[in-house]
Amino acid sequence: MVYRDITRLGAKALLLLTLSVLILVTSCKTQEMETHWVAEPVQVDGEMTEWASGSTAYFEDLGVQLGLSNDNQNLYILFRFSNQAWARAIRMGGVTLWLDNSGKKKKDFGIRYTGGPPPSQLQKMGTSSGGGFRETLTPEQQQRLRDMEETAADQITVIDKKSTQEITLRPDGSGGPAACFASPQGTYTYEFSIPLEKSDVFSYAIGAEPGQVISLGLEWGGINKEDRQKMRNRMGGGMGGPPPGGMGGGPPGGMSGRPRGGADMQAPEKKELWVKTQLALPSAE
Amino acid sequence: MPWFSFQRVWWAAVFCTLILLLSLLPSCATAPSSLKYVGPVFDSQNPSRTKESFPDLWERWTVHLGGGMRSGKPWQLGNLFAMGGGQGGPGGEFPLQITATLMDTILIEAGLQHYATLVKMTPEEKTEFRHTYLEHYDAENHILIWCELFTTWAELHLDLDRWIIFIEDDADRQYEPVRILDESRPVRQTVGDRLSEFLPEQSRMRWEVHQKTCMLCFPKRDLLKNPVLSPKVKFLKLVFQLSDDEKTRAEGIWVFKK
Repeated sequence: MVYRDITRLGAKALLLLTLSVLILVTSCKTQEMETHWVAEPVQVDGEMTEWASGSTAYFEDLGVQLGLSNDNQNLYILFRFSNQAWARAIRMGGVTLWLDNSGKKKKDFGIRYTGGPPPSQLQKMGTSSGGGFRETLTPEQQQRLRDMEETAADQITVIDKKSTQEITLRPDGSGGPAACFASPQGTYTYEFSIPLEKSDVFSYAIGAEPGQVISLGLEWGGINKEDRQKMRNRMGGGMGGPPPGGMGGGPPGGMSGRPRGGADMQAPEKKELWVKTQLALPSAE
Repeated sequence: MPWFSFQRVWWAAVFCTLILLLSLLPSCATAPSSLKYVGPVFDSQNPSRTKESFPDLWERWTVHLGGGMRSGKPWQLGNLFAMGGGQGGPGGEFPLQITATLMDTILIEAGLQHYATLVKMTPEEKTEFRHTYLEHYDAENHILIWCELFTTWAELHLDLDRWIIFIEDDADRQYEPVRILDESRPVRQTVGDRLSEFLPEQSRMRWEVHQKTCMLCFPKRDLLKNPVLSPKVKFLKLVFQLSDDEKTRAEGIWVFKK
């Protein structure tokens, strides 16, 4: 009798486990995407000029457009969306680009780009200074604060699990990876260039060659406590005090599908997009 | 067992009542209370004791009101009524999202210090900054609550005249603000979750977000000159209630730990 109960319980647990694994597997599915060969290096300027319509894909569930291309030297990535809250989150906490040359979803090597709309534009987007302190500063002090905020952003951080410390680089490509932000027609556009192979000049590269299958993950929003602290120090505190993990987030609520303002807009939940791709070969042009 | 029995009818009645209750109960526009445990004491006498940073203190003293909006299920009867011109936001939702920060003395001191450090103020600038801030908000005579209001519905929801705003303590004593300082900047922003070029024409809708920032100044002492927030007060509640519909309300609570 007891044995039968235990067996029944075990079967139920197994069923639950299988279901959980199935849900997990389907929800974390890596999508496959084509990478296009480019004969000329792509200018990392946040402009769409070098991205033909066939070289990008639109991820409807997230509302994100992604473009991938490569030459012999670099992998070029285009990342576009129109969500203001995401742009703000990236300006504060960055967007992390994970690169796995084994084609899996390892987060061993990546670059985090912190950049986006300038503070003056962010304020137009409704970022509050909080508490009335900023408003009390004299115009000259406010200018000092703005200058400090301008210089604090727009940088690349190399995340290498083999290294104990994070390396900060200028986003102009002088250290290897390059990144740039632009917002043409109100669409937030981020462009990246990542060296395929390490060289004598820089050691931050994917470690892959044309034809190889790699995985690429983009992660943004849902900042952790440390990042929030850094971001607040940079932005001058306040920020409306979004709670850790936001206020529910998820799909826009309401009968009419209206998005919610307030804390949802200020602290969007973490988003992640993974794609698997085969780096293009010259012959594939 | 016969097809018709009193037992079956009774169970059916219970079931129907439950369904009816479930559909009616959540349909009023009262947003669930947001609660924050703070303390140990409000308005600390010795602000220099704290080691917490301004951002951490800010987060500790901030509550979110109106965040738990109804999802607006079409089968909720309240929604059907609201669609025909109900109160609150369209669809009966609480139309605002509010973040409210209770400006404790420690928090004010930390904020003044934080900005003084950020801007690298000279001692004279620091003194002037402190004096200007405390004088502007009259922190000595006011309980200050910094509020940020957001809505993706009509801008009129931000009209503070539509709302009864008050604080209430654990003894049900209520106080209205003596002064509301509008700290808003004329900003316009829109929310669109999708890239418009990938959407059909009819779906290229971008919601405008309206917002208002204000400092609510409540009296620090009651008519008998007793402190509104004595050490005996267990919690303080901030209430936003629509003036012509008491069901449309949101609350944020600060619980003072002893």
